[in-house]
Amino acid sequence: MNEMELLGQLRDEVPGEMLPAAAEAALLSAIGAERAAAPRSGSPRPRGPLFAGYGRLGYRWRGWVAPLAAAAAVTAVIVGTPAVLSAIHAPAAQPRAAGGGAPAIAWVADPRVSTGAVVPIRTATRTVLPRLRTGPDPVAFAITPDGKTIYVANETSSSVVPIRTATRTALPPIRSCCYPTAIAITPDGKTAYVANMEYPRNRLGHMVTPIRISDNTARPQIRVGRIPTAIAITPDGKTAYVADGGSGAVTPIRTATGTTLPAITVGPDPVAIAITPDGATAYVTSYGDGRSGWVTPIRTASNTALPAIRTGGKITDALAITPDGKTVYVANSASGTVTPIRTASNTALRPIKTGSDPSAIAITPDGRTAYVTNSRTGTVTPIRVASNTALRPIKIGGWPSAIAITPDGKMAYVVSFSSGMVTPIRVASNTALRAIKVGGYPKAILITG
Amino acid sequence: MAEPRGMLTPEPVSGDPGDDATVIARSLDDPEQFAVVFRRHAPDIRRYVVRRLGPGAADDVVAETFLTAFRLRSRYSRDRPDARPWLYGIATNLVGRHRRAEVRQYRALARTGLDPVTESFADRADARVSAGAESRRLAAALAGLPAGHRNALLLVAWGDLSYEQAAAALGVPVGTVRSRISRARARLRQALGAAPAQAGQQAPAGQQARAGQGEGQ
Repeated sequence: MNEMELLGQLRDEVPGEMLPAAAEAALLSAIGAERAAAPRSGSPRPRGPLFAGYGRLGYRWRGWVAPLAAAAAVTAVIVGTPAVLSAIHAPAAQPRAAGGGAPAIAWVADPRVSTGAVVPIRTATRTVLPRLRTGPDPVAFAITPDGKTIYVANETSSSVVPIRTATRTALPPIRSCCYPTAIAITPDGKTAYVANMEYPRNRLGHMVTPIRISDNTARPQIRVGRIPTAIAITPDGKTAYVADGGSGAVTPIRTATGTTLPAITVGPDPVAIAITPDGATAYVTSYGDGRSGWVTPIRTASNTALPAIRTGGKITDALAITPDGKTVYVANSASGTVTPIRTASNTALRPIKTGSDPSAIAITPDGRTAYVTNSRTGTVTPIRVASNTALRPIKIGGWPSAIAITPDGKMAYVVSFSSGMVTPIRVASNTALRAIKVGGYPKAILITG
Repeated sequence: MAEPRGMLTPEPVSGDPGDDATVIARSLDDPEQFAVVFRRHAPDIRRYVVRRLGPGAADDVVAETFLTAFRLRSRYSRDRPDARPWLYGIATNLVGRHRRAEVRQYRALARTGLDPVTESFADRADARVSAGAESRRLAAALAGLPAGHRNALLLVAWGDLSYEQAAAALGVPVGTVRSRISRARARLRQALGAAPAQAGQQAPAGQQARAGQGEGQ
């Protein structure tokens, strides 16, 4: 069989002829809403430009969003999806408190093509504030250490949009090469590094785009390995590590010079990176082989890989490190387990059973509880860090795919992609509160406070 | 322009409602007509999206594809009788949003031999049969394609679009589609021709992976 026939065979394994009932219901309700809103009978409608490929139809920058509210200072950020997670959870890169008493805001990315936006939620009242249009496909966040600005990577629109947290206004987009998918900011707050998933036009190789924060301009691109998927920066700000999903390696970038060091091989499909709070070790998850995923520790001082640690689960993806730096939790997405790894000995403990498709991990600031979103089962599993035991799963619904914890450690916010809901969980009791409707298909979350 | 009609009496359509352009034009004044477009194309769009993303995320993508199309229908050009390129273009754009999940499924199939897409249909024990070595290599190569190449290739292979239709769907010249598909196919052929050792397993960094070490501590 040739490659096209093989592809055809793969497609034919999916049953055809099925009318998607949920899609039909959604469409009928939109039709009904339009019918209710506008009387029929030849209402004048704009006849737009000729159809010329959907990719060119969609989004146009709409300018500034009116400022709305008072300052929001930032104290902590923990974020869901692997790209985002890896982008900002090196603890030293987390923002410091910048003035007390500012209201905490959870920023949720809703990457719909036609209405891509970031939705702020005031956590005190759990109310949804007006959406900020960012352009299609906001997929990853990073925040400056002073907490003043959030940078949002918009994947299909190939741009990065800064958002001023105090006024909740979006600044004009900065072009970032091609399909930015992960973003991290140096601890000195001077530069954002953006990993781009696609080739730039007419050029070989994938690129990381540095953005100078003082004037929000893109600097010369840095060539890395194939299909970068994640980026993390050491607490001293000297090195950015880029996971090259397509080349099974990690490329270190010297931030002072913008030059790369030789790539470090870590095995197939590295997908997420986290750096210990002391900056000594970067942990990189890899899907591994058919039997097990693995995690490769990289000594940052010498940029050398230590022996890979097998996780005992398959398709190892998201990871998070406890604030004390003693334990790394990695999610084995195809096995429904999370494996704790002791950093002192770099050994894996017995995998902990979670729900199906564990996709994101967040750990409370006190280091007591790790929360794992189980996308396929629609639940969140709390793990007691002290004993590495799973507690009773919390029902969320939808397709939970990202999670963040408030700076005071009291609440976890879970984003459900398919239901357009954000569900707060009370950490003290591990109970879910009433879900907040965000709408759309939210993906990533970041909390400032 | 249609005559005003009562709320409960959709415009009578006798027999064939006409090509997509006609139906969409009519739906501007009579939104219910858009359901015809849905019934015509939703099963194929669904299959295409399910193949790329698996059933979970596919439900949402298919729903949003048609909601987006419905919202943007006033821009649909009447000189395009077949709406498939338009709908597949929207769907492909939305699939791009889940690129990580998509790539993850190909990688899972490549490494484990289990197809997460078909596996999740079911209780079907036979769906758990391991994929052949060829499919696994193919999946590994799909995961490694640049997204633009993969989109062009899969619109043709899984969406049954012609090169011209794929070009319209992606909003690029047909020559671009041609070259993307030819390069993508070359990559797949290369992967299929490669020895299993090269396409499949790769030793972890360092020396030996420490399998299971520390378990039970």
